[in-house]
Amino acid sequence: MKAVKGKRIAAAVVDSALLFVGLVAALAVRGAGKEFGDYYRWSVEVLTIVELCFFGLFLLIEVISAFKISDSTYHTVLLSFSLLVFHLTNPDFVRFLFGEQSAALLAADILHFLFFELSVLAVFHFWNYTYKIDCSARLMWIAGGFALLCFAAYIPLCFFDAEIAAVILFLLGIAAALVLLYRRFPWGQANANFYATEALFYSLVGCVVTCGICDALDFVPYGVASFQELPVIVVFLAIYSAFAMRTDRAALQASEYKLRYEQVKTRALKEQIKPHFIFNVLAAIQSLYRVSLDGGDRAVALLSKHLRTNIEAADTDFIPFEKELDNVQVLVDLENMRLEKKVNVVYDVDCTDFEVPILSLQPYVENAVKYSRVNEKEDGYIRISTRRTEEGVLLSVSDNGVGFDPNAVSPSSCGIRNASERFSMLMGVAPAIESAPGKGVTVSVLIKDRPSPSGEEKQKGRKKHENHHR
Amino acid sequence: MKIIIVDDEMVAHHTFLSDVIGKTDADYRFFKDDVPAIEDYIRKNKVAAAFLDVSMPSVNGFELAEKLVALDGDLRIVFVTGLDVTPEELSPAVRERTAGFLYKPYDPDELRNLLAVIEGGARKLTARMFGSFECFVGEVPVRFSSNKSKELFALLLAYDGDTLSMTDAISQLWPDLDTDKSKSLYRDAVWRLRKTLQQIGFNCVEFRRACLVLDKENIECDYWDLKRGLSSEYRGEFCKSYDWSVDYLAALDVKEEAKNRRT
Repeated sequence: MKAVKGKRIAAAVVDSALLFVGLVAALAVRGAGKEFGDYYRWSVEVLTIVELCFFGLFLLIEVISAFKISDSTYHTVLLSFSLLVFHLTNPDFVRFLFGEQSAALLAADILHFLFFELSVLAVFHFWNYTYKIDCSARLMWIAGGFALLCFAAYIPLCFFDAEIAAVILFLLGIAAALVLLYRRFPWGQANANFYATEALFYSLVGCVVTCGICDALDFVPYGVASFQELPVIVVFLAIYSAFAMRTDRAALQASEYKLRYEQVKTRALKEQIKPHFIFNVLAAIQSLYRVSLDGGDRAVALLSKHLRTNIEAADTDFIPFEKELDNVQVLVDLENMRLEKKVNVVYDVDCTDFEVPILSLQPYVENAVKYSRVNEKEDGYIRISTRRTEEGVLLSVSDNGVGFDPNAVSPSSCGIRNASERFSMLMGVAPAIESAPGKGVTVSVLIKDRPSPSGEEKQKGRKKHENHHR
Repeated sequence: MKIIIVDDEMVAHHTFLSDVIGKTDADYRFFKDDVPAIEDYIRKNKVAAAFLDVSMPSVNGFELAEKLVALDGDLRIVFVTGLDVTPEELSPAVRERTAGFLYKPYDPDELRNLLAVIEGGARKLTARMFGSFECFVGEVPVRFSSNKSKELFALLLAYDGDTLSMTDAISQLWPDLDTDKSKSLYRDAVWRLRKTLQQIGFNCVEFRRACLVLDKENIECDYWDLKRGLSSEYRGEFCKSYDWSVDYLAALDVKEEAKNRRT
């Protein structure tokens, strides 16, 4: 993560440096021999150059990053592109390039107006998109603050034209009314911050559109087109930085998640291969061979199946439920080989067409033997049941053993903790464990329907990690 | 039926294999990973199946399979391996001829099942309902994983191809239990029956929602034979110790009496 952040900062520094160089160069070239009366005109030209550099760089960065990141970056690339085209058709820029040629100016005015509207729409779309994924209040206030600042950019315009000043004041009034409205009524309160910033944004767009119209109709003096670009750039920057922050955070979370998942998994595997269990089984096999060769052979095959599953678990996340049931049966057969009193499992399975994390059922079955002592009870049983419900499959493992008091010292083994953790990491659901002394234990978990794994994943035995961050 | 077994660690495996295969009627021959010798043998003999170890020093089991299948298109392949391999790793030509996988160490029954599959022809499941209920594949009795799943299968056979609904099965097998509990036990019996049939390679039951249907092909049953008047080994006992057998006994006795009167 540090490397990624470092690169981002470096990119920002390089951008600023380039902008600065561009600015100085423009001042040096265009500023030579200018009189003070040309100052305003000249500064507009500098501003135009700076903006152009800025957009060009921005687009370059986005295009480069588009090869690495996808989807949402694509939106920003589109946005930057339309802003760039928009800028190229800026009447001020055209004046700067061609002088006062009216045909070029008129065409530029029309194009400028069109592309400008497109960019505003794109900004708005992107704004919405960001909101839907993450509506952190703090980010919204930052963006809203930026939007407010943008109004400041219009202040100079007010000195040129009283009509524009009136329009801006009118729009500000609407914005204020909207903010109050959203704060007052219950339907707006849930996302008040968002609506407030949205209102500001709308009125800003209104300002820009008004100026655009005035500009197209030649109401206002030279330079307005460049000024009205500023707010758009600022809003765009605000949204972009909010988005970049969010992407960073998501990436950070994903990498932390992966690390934690690996830890849990390693622990689960270590837990699962219990030396004393293996050796006891081997001892039992020794005795079995004294009784019958067939019995011994069968036991060896069982143990090998059990070990194979455990080894396979190292690079598999999910397996079909039916296979997991087979693994449970192997475990129960092995347990029954060494236990004097047999474990009885009832497979109350209504459906098996779903997947579970590998080795996620065994710990609960082991626990039922170890702590609930289900095998010592007359007619004791472990019941594995599945029921299809509207939301998904309800899976439960229950026993009628002695149970335990969940509030007292938890006898639940590491195995259970691992299994529960893996359920919540891989499937986003935590199994609920209910128990009381004398009442047995019930573990239940709702497995929501997932889209079936793709063919490719199926072939590789689903050995890929799935990131379950939002 | 001739089979060959190729394994570089033959010393370790030899005794076990010869003991297991020796009890079947397969004519077997061991090879180390000596490819020319194996190819020569395949050319000169009609070999039904080759059991190949996957990881051998001089040749990979998959590659060897490729060569052997090219030599003899009818040859079946069984991969014997300590590793975890899946059919997806095989080339289409080999996959088509692959009869199965054996993961070392394996249950001798799995090997016997595979041999039976390779031998082909009509593998029959024989059900004996007169006296105590038992099932056999060849001479080997079928091991059901619970008594109730065995009883359920017996009931399904007694239904003689008719659909057995969950309600019927429950009322016959668990007449005294409350609905929830009996349904649990029914599902358990169904699941275990399914697993047992899967293990012996007879998918003769169609597991539908809340009912079961038996596919009677490849099943021989003394009760069916009697019903069709083919033979009579009936000695006044039918599915001993199953409560529901009384109804069938009555009908059988009536039939038997009628027959005796005639003779």
